[in-house]
Amino acid sequence: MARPESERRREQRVLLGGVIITAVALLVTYGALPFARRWQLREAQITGAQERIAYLVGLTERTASLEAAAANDERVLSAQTRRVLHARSTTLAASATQAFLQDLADASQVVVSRLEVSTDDSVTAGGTSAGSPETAAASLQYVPVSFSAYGDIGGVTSVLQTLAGGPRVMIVESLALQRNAALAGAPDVVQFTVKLRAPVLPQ
Amino acid sequence: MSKPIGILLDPDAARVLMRQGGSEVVRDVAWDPDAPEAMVEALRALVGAPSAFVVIVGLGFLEVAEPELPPLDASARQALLWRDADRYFPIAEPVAVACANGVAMALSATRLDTWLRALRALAPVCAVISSPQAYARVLGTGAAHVAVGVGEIGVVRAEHGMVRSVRRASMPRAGQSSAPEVVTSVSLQDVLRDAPTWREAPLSEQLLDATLSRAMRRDTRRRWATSGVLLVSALALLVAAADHTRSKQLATLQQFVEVLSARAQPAERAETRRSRAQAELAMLAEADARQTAADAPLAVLAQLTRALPRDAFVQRLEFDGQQWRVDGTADNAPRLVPLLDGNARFRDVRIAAPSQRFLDVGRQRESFAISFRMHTADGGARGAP
Repeated sequence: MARPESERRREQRVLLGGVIITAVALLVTYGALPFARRWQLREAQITGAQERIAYLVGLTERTASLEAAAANDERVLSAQTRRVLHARSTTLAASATQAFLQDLADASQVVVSRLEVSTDDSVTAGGTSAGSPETAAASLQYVPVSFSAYGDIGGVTSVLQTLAGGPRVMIVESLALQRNAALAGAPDVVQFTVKLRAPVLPQ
Repeated sequence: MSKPIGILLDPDAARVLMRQGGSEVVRDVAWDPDAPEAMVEALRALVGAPSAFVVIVGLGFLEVAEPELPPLDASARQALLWRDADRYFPIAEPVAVACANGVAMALSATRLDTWLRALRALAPVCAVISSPQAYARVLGTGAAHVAVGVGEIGVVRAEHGMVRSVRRASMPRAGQSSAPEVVTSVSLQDVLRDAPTWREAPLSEQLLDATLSRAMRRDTRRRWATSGVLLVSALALLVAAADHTRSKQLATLQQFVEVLSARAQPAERAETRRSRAQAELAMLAEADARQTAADAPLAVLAQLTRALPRDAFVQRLEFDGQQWRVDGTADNAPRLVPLLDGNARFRDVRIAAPSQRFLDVGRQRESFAISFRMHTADGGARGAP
């Protein structure tokens, strides 16, 4: 039996509607949205490039004053007896820190029982200037250190004194001093554990 | 795009409105309704190539009836009249029909098709209406005479621009008195000037046959589809152009950044040196401040040594970054807390664990565990919450 004309037209309309909705959905999913994302990304890049240009222009204009300020700061630093550790990587910084603490223990006549310098937990401090990747290198990193040793109270005092005012900057985060009860016959021996943060300037 | 022009097809002439010497005049073009091609050529010479025609079919060609139709919408009424034309009109072939307010006007579809085919050689036809409809719209409300042909006159009554009735009558002979009728004078110029407004008239109001109506509906759809495609294409082109422009801008900016980066290298090196030096100076200042702070380990050791009595023996001293704790033994442990609390350098002195009394080589001793904080230079307590 032939279908009525109205039914055939309705079916055609439904089919056409389905095709249109599918086409629009495909167009939005694979055309409009990727395009919008690409557009947003490019706008962000344009904004970033404009900011970078403004920064570089300002920087170029201040070349002379920056040179003078840097030379002045470096002159002030060169007169200091204490310095922050400079290293190309945190591994090298950890190695230098370890060597420094061993030397310190030897000089203070304490015996190191445990020295742990972690490079994986190094933390970056300080922000970076907008559009200036080089200044990111200027931000400080901190190498965490756990240092345990024993010796007489004079040695412990010497260690603490050097940590506080020695040639390398070390920040004491926690400290535990304990009379070493295990060493019978040597009541003046003190065991101590100190947790430090060694600031490092990446080169 | 220029407006379409109206052309009135009366039995004696085809009439168009023309601008001549700054004023508008109605020009008659003689024609043979059975062979309209010559009229079209004459029109071409007269008006050139207009953008489109609005065709007004004169009352002289129309059969008028007032059929009793069920209350349907205009399209359904028109379809009904197409189907049952022989019931209402003395035309024995398919008809083109216009229906307005119960007044139906018809003419042979074949004849109309012949005219439109001829006119389309000059310009597309965008609307076909009857002259009573055109007069009614100009008239508004009232009655007006409409030319019909030799020896006949038509009277169109209108209400709010819609046809109410159409009547054809013989012209009164000289000396013969006609029935008194108040009519408004409607100039042909006004009717032809108003014709372009019919361009967007619904197809159900126009004087069309079924085939023509379908064709015009198809044309309308095609125009909409073409316009839609053109609009989408234009938008796509616009977006593509904007996209291209922004990409070029970005490329230009990036090139400029590269040039500036090379130029700013000395400044950037100086800035890096300065930043590094300042970071180190700030760290040195902080380290110096810590060295002289009240809770620096050496300072606390010294303070405790001074504050605790000689019989106190410290077994453990601990600093967690905020608070100090000292454990040990003394002859009289309870008096240590008031002793430290009375010292201005110690703050928040508290007992951290219970005290125990015991004999040490025959001597009575007491254990103590005390926590405290140190006063800082600004008067606060280091590590205080």
